[in-house]
Amino acid sequence: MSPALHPLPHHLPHISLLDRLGRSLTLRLFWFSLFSLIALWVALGNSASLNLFQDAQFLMGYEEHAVRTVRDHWQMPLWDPWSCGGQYSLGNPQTRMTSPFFLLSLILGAPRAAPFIVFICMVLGAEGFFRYARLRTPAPGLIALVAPAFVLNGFLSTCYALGWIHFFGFAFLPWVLYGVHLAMRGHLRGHVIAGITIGVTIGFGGNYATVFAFFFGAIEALFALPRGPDARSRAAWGRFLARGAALGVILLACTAYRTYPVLTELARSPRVMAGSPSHSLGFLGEMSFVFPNTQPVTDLPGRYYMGLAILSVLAIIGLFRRRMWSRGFLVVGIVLAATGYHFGTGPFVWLRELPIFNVLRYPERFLYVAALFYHELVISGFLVLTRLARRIPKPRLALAVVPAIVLITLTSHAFQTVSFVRMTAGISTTPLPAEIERPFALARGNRWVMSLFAYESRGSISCGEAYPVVMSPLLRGDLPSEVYLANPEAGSAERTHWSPNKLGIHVELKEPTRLLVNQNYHPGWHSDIGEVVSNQRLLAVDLPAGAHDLTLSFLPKTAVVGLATSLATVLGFCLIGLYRRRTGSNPRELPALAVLAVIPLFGGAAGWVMAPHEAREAPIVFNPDGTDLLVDAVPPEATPVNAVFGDTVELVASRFGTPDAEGNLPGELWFRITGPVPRAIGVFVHVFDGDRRIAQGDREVIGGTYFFANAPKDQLIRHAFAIKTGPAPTPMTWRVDAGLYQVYGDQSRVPVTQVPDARRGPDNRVIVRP
Amino acid sequence: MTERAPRSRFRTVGLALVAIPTAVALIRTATATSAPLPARAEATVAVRVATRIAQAEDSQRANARRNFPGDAWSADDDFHNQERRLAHALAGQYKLGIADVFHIIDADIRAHRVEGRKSNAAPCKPRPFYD
Repeated sequence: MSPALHPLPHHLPHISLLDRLGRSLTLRLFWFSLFSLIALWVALGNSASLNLFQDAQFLMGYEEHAVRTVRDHWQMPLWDPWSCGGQYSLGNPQTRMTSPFFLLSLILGAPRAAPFIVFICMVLGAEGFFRYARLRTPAPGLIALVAPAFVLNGFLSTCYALGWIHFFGFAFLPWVLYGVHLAMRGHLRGHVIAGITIGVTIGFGGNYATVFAFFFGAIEALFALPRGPDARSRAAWGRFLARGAALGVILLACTAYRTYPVLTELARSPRVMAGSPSHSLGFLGEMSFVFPNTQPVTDLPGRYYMGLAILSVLAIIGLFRRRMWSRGFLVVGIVLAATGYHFGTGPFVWLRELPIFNVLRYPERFLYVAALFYHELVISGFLVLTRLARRIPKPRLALAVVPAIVLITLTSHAFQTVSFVRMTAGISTTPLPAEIERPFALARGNRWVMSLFAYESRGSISCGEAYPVVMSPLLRGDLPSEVYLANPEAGSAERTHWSPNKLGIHVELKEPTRLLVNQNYHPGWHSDIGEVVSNQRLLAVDLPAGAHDLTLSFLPKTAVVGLATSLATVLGFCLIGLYRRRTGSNPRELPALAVLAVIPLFGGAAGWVMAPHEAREAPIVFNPDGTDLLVDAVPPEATPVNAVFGDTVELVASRFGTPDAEGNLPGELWFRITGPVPRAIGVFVHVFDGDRRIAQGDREVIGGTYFFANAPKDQLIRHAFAIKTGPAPTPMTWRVDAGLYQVYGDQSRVPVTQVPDARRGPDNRVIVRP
Repeated sequence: MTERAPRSRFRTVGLALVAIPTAVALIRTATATSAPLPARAEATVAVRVATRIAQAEDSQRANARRNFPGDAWSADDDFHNQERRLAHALAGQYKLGIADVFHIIDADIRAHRVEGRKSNAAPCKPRPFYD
């Protein structure tokens, strides 16, 4: 006789109770906030101190500078004069002052607000996970039980320890996916949820999170593809395409207020990410399941700690539910992406071929997204277990399943919480500096302690960012006045008003001259008198003779257009809410989507018309030594080489000096690229003393700026570099060879198809010196 | 009305449950204190600190150039890291705040006490390789 079955798993009394608790929003939030509070207990108690880790220093600096701009000057935080000699805050992908959490920074001050903002992000992140996981697993109790694991992940504790507060934007990823899921199934509120949460994510500086949200949002949307009988229905396909198109426009529009300035800044100053980061599957396992140490920078094992490894068995059991196979495929695909270049190719390598994705640096960050789907599988595994428990003939044993699940989960949470606390307790801090009130001026500064300078009314020229901030080499940290004339004999200049986005300057000029301001130039600066120009990337104004009181103000076009676009989208959301409130029902889907998709376009167009005119700039590129990268001609003293590699790369000339006091040999190679070049081609330079190779300088990136693949075509490119050789003999008899090679794979050399005999070296090398 | 009362009470209790950890977090961060700030450097100490920093600068910059040949931003950044380490050491030695040490460096650079000392930093150009 077969054992009696419970009709439903929920009829196990414990699971029924768990589900009742999980369905209650307030109990869930209490549960999530309890874990968040314990995890952040030490961090909250240390909020009166500054994190001394170098990244925390400049990132916290950005937020504090924005607070000062709003609080002390009642201006929007558009220009940050304290950082890097002045930078466009909205255009910096890592600033987080355009999220609602900025209000907390304003009230509490940036350092004090940070752990509380993180607390809120963790609670919201767990709730987002709950809602997203519930779409596929009908077990609210189990989901609520497991949800804290997503926000107690080792990645977030590491982010807190390093000062990467903006990475808590990842907490909104499940919200975006939840919104996309609903939107693609015809729920208008799905568009609103996805739009607002992705807008908050990017406003919070979640650059990785936003890119991932778009990517995985597109995958989530594909799960709504018409299937079964619908697959042959034109109406179903029409609905799918209309929802997808509208959602795409809405998401782009909601993020426009940051993406437009950020992409414009990155176009102004291109950034390439070279290298081939790779991790073995075993190492990824260590990152995910080894209990982490407290050294966030050096210790990678445990960095993405997901809790007890035994839960991975449950994740496999979770795959017994067919509905979860998509999660399984996603986890496998994401883990493969996290291996980077380990297998030579794979999702990360393919993604890097795409715009925007080509600047992703760390493939292992995909692991955090994998954690989202992994925990969904764990919950599914628990659900399968509770269903199997119905078949256990002994009721006592069956009833023990749920407490066992709770115990395992709580133990796993305890390990994650302890690791979170240990990580946040290990932060090196310094007390908040005392304020010194005096006129603002730039100091040489030090980006490793950048947040200290604003407290002393100083800005730091020294700058460390993940992208090349456009900076002037003429900035000075020792000027008696922050405004001065290019020709001091022409008159005088005096700063009469200072605020981040607006400067008042009184000038008395005997003749037309150039006024120089000790800040970086940006095309968003405007003057009511004269013409704003870039003086070697220094902010300058060409002025007529006479006495003038001029006002310099900063309002970039990208800020106006981007904000108008995003605000128009929010207006669209409000209109739909208003309609619903008045009529008591949702508007019809397709007309509502049409409105939501069109309104941002009008907003953007209005912003474009209203925004002040802005001069266009060519991309600013230079060699790592600060010299010109794109040139018009080869100097006469350079040595002609005239070699051709393959069919499309010409090595026009070369020049080498002698090693400097530190034993660095400076060199220059002039290239011209006339056609397509594969992405993996790099340049090698070998230095020989007789037949012995004594040094080499291999570069995947020319001038630290371009791959051969994306360098401008038919343009003379001056690749300046230095190779560590040590002292040279006198007279210098070294020979230098150069060539092109495959940076990855077999590292084979590109054939030299044309070269004068005197310069032909062996094995596809070209002699570039003597 | 009477039917809704238990639900309303339950909601109130629930809201209070959520509010308690949130309020605790907020109060803890708002009232957090840190170690007291060390006193500002006296003039003689400031001169000593400024001199030590200035004297170390040439060798630190040479080290940085050796570490990063032909890369102006990386070399400057390496120099600033060395400067930061020395600043921390001096802050510990003289019982100063780290901000005070950089205050002293700034004042020293503005005073032009050492001829030819660099008062700026190379424009930010992060390296394309980090793996």
